[in-house]
Amino acid sequence: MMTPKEKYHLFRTNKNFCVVPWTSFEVFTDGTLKTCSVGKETLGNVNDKKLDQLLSENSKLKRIKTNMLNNIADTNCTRCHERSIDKDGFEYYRAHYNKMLEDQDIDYHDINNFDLRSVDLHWSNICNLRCIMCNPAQSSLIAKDEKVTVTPVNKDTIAEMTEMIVKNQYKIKEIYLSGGEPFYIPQNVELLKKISNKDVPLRINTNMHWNNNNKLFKILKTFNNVNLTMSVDAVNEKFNYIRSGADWEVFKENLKYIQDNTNFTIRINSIFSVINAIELCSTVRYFYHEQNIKDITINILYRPKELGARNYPPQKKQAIVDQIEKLITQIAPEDVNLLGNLKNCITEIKSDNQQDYNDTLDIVTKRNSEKWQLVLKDLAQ
Amino acid sequence: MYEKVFFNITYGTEIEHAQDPCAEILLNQKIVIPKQLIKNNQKVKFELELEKNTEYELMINRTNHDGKNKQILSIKSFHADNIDLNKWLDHMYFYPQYPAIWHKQQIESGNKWAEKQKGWRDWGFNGQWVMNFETPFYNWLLKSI
Repeated sequence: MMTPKEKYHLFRTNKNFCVVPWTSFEVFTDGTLKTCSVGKETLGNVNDKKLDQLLSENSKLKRIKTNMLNNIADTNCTRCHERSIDKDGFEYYRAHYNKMLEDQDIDYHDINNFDLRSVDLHWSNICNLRCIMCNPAQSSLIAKDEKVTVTPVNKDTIAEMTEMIVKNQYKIKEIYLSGGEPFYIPQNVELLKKISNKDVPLRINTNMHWNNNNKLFKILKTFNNVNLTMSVDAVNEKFNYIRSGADWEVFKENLKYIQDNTNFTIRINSIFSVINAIELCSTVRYFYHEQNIKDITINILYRPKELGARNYPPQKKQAIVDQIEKLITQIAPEDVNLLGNLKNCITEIKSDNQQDYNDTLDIVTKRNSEKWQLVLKDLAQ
Repeated sequence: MYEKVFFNITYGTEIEHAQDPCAEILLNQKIVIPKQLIKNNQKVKFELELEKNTEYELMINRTNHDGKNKQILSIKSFHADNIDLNKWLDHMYFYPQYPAIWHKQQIESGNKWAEKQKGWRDWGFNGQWVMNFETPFYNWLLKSI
């Protein structure tokens, strides 16, 4: 076991350490295994090899752990490093996971050790929307439109993962359900039915388009520590366009229902891209100032690359930067996460343009029938 | 003994028509560094031998102010095992011993002075600066900072 001194230096002095490779994993809708949502490397596929083998006998995972222990930036973690702002004490994803396990005794010296404390489950692409930046792997409706078959996580693997989670349920600090839309993925209900620890922290990434008869919603109400991470990139009509198939009024009604009828905590999760760059500040203001929701995360869109905010029309970028800089002055200093995210948005939009978004948005138009130039007027040149 | 922690304190002083201030360092009321006159930029280094799962009180007992002339003793820097704890000083308390007559006058004129002052690292009054911690020291540090 590590001494308290060694543990302190890992968590406070080491700039590359993260608990995730020892304690967590992400399974994607096609069975791809990664360290986390921003991890770059594929560690294997749970449809091809047993999960426990992938976690314990994985040379990539051992390399990542060794580099972390030696305070070396691993290539798997580039995105997390790029988005961390040392001088502000803002660390991207790893801050969330490290903070969660600071008080836990876990042997990080042992690179063969895997001690499950959190999971990130995207085990199906079943979804009720066709968000315009989404893809077949994360939306069954888009997969159907594009006649793409996504090989789902197989039943035996789901059973193995479920058993692993149930076995560790009193140690687990977060079960993160994403998708697809978790409220329509039956495996989520099956998993939670087997969890008897009602205090286990649950984080659900949702588009908020479901009703109160939903099976997952009913079972979530029996848990004591539920966080709904709501996907919203804009408000009003722009919301409806980006989250194709969604209705802003339904979102607002469900948000109010959750606020009035549950003890769930709420996080807003936006994805910053060319599509919503011009709306970002008004969206944050709506939730932060009007709804008094302070827990807001803004992630940078990684795929499709063409829609990355760096590809925004160069002559219009400064106006967006000015808006975000003004917004930053209106956010409380203690909201370090939101401030760090906003600064990352500035860095992203200031980056050199790399791709053209026109072709990608033309594909969206074919899918959704509404001409993008009519809605995304700031992008039409 | 369970663990050893090495402390390094740099003092600062500002004096007008007065003697140097004095400081004595104690751990749970036992003397670690005896009372001594302190000069500007003087460094004090000491090692604490700590028992497991124990609560501790590290104290600097600041004395030798005459209650009249300007004489300030400050902590300029504070390190434990070379870890910079300067920011942590903002969370520590100083218990001033206000000069009796002056304090009485202050109260009579409506100025209430607190029994303990959070974050004071410049001490114009005699008094005690206190840092409470527990062992394992590094677990406490991880939780606190």
